[in-house]
Amino acid sequence: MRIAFVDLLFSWPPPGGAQADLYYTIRGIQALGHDVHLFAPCYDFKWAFNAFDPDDLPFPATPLWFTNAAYRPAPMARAFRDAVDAWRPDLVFAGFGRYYKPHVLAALNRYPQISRYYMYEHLCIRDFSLYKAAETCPNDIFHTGPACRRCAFACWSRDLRSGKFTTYGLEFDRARAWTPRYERLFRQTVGNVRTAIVNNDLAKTRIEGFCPDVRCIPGGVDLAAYPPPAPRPDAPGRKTVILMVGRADDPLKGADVLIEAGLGLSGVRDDFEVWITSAEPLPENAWLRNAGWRDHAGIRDLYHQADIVVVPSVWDEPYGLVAVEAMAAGLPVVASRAGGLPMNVRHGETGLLFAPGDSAELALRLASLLDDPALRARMGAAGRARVEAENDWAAIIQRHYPALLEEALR
Amino acid sequence: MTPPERIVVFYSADADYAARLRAARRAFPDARITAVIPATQTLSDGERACVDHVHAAEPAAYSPVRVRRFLGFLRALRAMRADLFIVMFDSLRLGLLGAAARPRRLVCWDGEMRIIPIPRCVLLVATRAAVRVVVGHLRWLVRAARIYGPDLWHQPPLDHSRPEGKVSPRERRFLNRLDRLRRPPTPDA
Repeated sequence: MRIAFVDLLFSWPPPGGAQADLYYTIRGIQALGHDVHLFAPCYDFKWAFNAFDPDDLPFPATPLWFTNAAYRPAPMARAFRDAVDAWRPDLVFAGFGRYYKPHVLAALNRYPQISRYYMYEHLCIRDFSLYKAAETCPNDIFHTGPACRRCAFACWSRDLRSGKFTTYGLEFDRARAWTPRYERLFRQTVGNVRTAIVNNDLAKTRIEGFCPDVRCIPGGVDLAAYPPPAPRPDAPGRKTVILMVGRADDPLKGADVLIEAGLGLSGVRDDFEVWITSAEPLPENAWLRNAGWRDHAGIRDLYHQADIVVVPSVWDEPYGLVAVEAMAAGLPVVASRAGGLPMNVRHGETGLLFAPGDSAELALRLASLLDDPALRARMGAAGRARVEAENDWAAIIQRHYPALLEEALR
Repeated sequence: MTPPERIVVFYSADADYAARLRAARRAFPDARITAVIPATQTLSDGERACVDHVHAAEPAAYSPVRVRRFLGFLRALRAMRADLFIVMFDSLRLGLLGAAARPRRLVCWDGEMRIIPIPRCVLLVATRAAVRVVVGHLRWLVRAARIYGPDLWHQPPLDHSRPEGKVSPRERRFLNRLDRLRRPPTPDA
């Protein structure tokens, strides 16, 4: 079978979990014996150069180049349509994309489609987080379309009024995502896909009835990149390293909750350090270290130096790949009880859970792990065993994709 | 366009300065790159390796209120005779400062990795900022009227499909095959 993968935000090395997920999905489906090809945009108006080099990828890929002027829904949809048509696939697998994704899906509607939704971009056209006023938003585009459009419009109003657009504000404006026409296109493209793949039950239940088939397929890790963990060094005076990785400068990731918990703990003990990977400056504290932005390999190095990983997200983290990676590295995980995180972090078994945003509870959970190295080791080993059984990419592909691809073409 | 020989990268807090320096060095390996930083700031070894010269300025010199120091700072920037002057935010203040330094090209490399050209004339920078705000407010008003008002602008569904005339017979056969695949399964199947 010939499968065209289309992703509007692909980048390699990956800046986030979505790109890594698509990369391993393509590799896995290629290993099943299918012809695969990735089509993804690159931009000549970016100073960090192209988002990926096809030569760095183990599968064929075509970068579609866009200037700032052509970075609009119609030219983008046409460019994808022409490139994909020329390759003649049997099936289109759509990956990550924001306001332009419905346009591209509509342009490719002659093909059977499978669409992967990594965040809540199939429900929320505001910022795709389905998180508003410090709680999960009860609205979504399928049930409260006009309210969602108004909410998104209010969110991007500052960009509109100032005339200084962020990338997504510009996409919102150019896609005319506040219009009823966009809402119709959006619902139509989600309804048109053969299968929608989401990360958690919240993402699944909201579109049931609007899409013919919705499935939860977990993300995975490449276990080859995570060799079985070596015993942690136990040098005298060595401080226990509590690590938070990911886009820590994003408020939804909850770095401030961890810092608050660290402040509480630092009043009673000094046997720990908190390392956070933030692209922006952090408050100065003796126990707090900014590990800076790291790429995939750099993050794996950090796991080898860490003792505990914290995922303090305050929103419903769709999946929480960081937690799975940390478990693969043999580390206990302390995560908020939000979104897809409890699916992977089993309380008392592979880590500990706490209420989102509750820094006091987080401090208690951290204290219990700081006090008990044996518990850390036990949870780390249980996490590794769980990832080997559930989250190895090869196993995920074998378990979910052969049947899914068959059914999509039936 | 000839590649720039002298590049100035102007430091701003709250942005990844090192990433810009690395990108500038990668893009222009033969250029002379000057990092303009406040004297309170230091560059790491990795950042220093990307630049040929570091100009550390007194933080007070950044403020136009201290006229003499500010003019001295501007003179120093002009003396650099930059072919490319890079700022990290597309703000009025940085735009004016960059334009006053009289580079050949003035650009913003913003936090979303975009390259935004900025006019080199102080008057144009100020006009651009004002026009942008006025046009932005008008644009916002039009959109707000459309979203909060009645739906008077009913538009037909978007159509990105390929015009029929451009489909070759071979492609038509291929599309017919796809259409058969796309048909929903019958209950018996």
